[in-house]
Amino acid sequence: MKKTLYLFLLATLLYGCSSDNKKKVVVYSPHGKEMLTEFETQFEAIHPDIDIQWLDMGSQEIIDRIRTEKENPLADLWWGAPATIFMRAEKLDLLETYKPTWAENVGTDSKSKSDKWYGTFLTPQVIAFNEKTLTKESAPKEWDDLIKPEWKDKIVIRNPMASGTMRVIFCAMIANSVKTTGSEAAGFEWLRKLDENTSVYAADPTQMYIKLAGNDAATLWNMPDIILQKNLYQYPFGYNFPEAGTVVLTDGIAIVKGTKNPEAVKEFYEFVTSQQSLILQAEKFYRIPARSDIPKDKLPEWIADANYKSMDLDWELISDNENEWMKKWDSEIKGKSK
Amino acid sequence: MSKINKNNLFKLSKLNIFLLAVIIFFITGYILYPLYSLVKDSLAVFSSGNQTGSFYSIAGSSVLNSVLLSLITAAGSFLTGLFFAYIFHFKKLPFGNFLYSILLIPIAAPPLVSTVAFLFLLNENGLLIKIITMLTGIESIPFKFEGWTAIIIIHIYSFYPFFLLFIYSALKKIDFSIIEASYSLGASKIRTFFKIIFPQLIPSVTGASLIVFMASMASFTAPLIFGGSIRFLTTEIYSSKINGDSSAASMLSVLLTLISLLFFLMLRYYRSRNSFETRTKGTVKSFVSDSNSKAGILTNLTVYTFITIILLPILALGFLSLIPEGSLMRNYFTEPFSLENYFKVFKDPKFFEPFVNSIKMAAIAVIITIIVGVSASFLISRKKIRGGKIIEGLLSLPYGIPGTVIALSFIISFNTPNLFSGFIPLTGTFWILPLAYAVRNMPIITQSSLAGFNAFDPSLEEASSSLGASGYRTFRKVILPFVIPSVLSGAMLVFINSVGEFVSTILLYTYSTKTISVEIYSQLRLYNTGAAAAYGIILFIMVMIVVYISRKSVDKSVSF
Repeated sequence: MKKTLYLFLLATLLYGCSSDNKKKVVVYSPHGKEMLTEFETQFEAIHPDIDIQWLDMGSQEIIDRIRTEKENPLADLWWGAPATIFMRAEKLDLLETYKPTWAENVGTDSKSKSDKWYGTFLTPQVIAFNEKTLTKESAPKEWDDLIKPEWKDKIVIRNPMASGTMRVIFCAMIANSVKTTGSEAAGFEWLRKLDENTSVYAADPTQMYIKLAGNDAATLWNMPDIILQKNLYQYPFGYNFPEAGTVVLTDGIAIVKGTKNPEAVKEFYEFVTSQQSLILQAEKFYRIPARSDIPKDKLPEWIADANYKSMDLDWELISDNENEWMKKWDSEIKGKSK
Repeated sequence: MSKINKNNLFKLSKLNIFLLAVIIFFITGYILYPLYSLVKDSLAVFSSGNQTGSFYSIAGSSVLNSVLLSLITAAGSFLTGLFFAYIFHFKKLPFGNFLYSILLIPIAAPPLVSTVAFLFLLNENGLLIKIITMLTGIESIPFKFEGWTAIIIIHIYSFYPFFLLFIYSALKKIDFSIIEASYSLGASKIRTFFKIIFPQLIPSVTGASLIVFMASMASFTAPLIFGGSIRFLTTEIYSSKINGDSSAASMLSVLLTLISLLFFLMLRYYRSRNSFETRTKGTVKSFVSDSNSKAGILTNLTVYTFITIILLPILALGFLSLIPEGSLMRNYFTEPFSLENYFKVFKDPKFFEPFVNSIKMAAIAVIITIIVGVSASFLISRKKIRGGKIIEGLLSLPYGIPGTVIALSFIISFNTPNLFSGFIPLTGTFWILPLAYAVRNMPIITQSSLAGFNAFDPSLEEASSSLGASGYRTFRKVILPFVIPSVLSGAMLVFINSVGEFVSTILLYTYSTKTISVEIYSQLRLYNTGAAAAYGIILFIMVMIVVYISRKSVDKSVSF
């Protein structure tokens, strides 16, 4: 009995240590298990010699990991994060130079000047609200509606310290105040008023959806995700594009510096950013492609119909100050009005 | 090896010296060196200048909140544990043993699982809330399960069994004739409790307080999910790290470790001042139940209500795993039950990988802790080596270090090859995970096997060798059977803690080392609540099986 137990232990130990000769490409990505599995399977079917290994994490966690692993890089490809995070990674010298074949088909705002990263998706942010209690008319429509006293304790916000998206929205408010008033003060004041109206900072998106579908009235979140939740899971969500212009995030892709399989990585990079893949990502996974050379009629209706104005923002400024601003928000504003 | 009480290192056998070397290597490489790297990294906080002001205010409030939370948790768990230990010891309940083991269930539920279970039970669309609104017809209940209340409830739920376990077994050892004497001398029940019973419970109460205080200081999942804008040390460490401020994260980790250590020392001091030994000749008269001790309706009602509370979160999790994904928003009571979520989880071609990983890593952690912990306690207790107290102290140190901190210090220490990483960069490999689990759980094995060795009567050993048995034979046939039950129950706890470990895993895992907890977390991240619940239930069942098996084998080795 004991001997079989030892043998079993030994066998399980050995089982994990076996390896094969495939070229490994390690992908860090926040795009989620389903989308990653889909493209892993598709890609491996045409490239049987390459093994795609993905790790599914938030974009903020990814830059933290890649920075921690700098002396001993474990990832090859970084698929997905707001451009501001890629800008910071570029400054920290964490990215490899690569110019994709479609480089000319994305806007100058959506790519790195030195070819370190390129935009894959555009993500407009919206004011999402609970359709059961509010209509497009009665819900907050403009950014400044969110800080009106009538919404006190009615706004749910995804905890911005751990969410790349929320951080950028918050910082965009400050950057906008720098642009219009010349100082950060008005932006922080806006965030302070938002804090007053915030019922809770949700630890993860699921929490946020549940709260929004429950007693809370509105939130700030990205449009594709709101549509996805509504279509797939019947969450009662509606949304408004702020007419004055909304924050549009660029989501990007980059090769991690120190990759051991540059050729295989490039194959996968090109594969997931091909026209065909981008159309599939739009249809199945609610991503709006950043490439401008895709015919509109090939894309789903909700993308073709989306009509929004994007806010003109200084992304360099946001990227450079994000940590500083968020730290200030965290220590001086968060929860202070409670 | 046959000669005992040799105080000299040179008189130790070669095997003993080898064991000592292994222990010292482990302590230096995996406890002291990572801590040193952490402290070194943390000192950069003072040189960063401009942000120190806000750092102090964050550090101050999070220290305060964490300590307050841990004290409330310990107090609440103590009262709950004491209450039920009392009932189960002095009152006769039908199915008492069975009910008692249900009360211990929360110990076996990994923190991630119980937190998620509470979430499904009590959040705005939670099962219980839905049931109440349906029964009463109220639109929405003005109750929000979040913040302090939520964290304290989850903490007491998860940690009170330690008090129950410790106090219950201490009560069993109390000589009932003293209590009877106290009564017959005219002391009231309350007076008897405070003057006679409680002093004898002090060692177990301090032991449990230590575990609960430290576990609650180090708790991460519940504060992360329900904390909102309240700062706690563990969540602040995480967000500083995520924010790219690694020296602040290290500094907060050092603070957390120091507080736990301080508490550890304070409790030790208190225990040494208040230790109380009873001297009884002959056998201890234990409490015999009579007709008076039959539990009344009120007691029965209390116990059953509490049992329901204990089971509710797990039932909610089970319920959620049986309804279709995404039906959370609809009226889910009308949805038919299905095993769809389980099929979906099983269909995943990589389904077994996280399970195999978790079990493998937990098994390796158990082996490492047994090798180091048991040999250390053997050398300390039986061989009385010099510096034994120091070794014991160092091996208990990780008790006060939360998983986040251990992971963080491991990453810093083993990013580049050195002697202790086996001359490879250990970060990102398989081995760093079981090593981290082993370090974190070392105190459990050390303490439990030390207790086993200490309880062993040396005269038995002398008897064995005077009857002509060799040293090895004495060890195998006399000492080992005596110690095995304590080692086994320690090993079981190590396994349970490691197999569902989430806090340090989330920082250390890579593609090929995903564990069950990582899988649950990423399902939650993708809003697949049904799949997350299914994984949670499978993990829970797995842990229950391990508990059952090891209990059986403890019973078996005792009867041997």
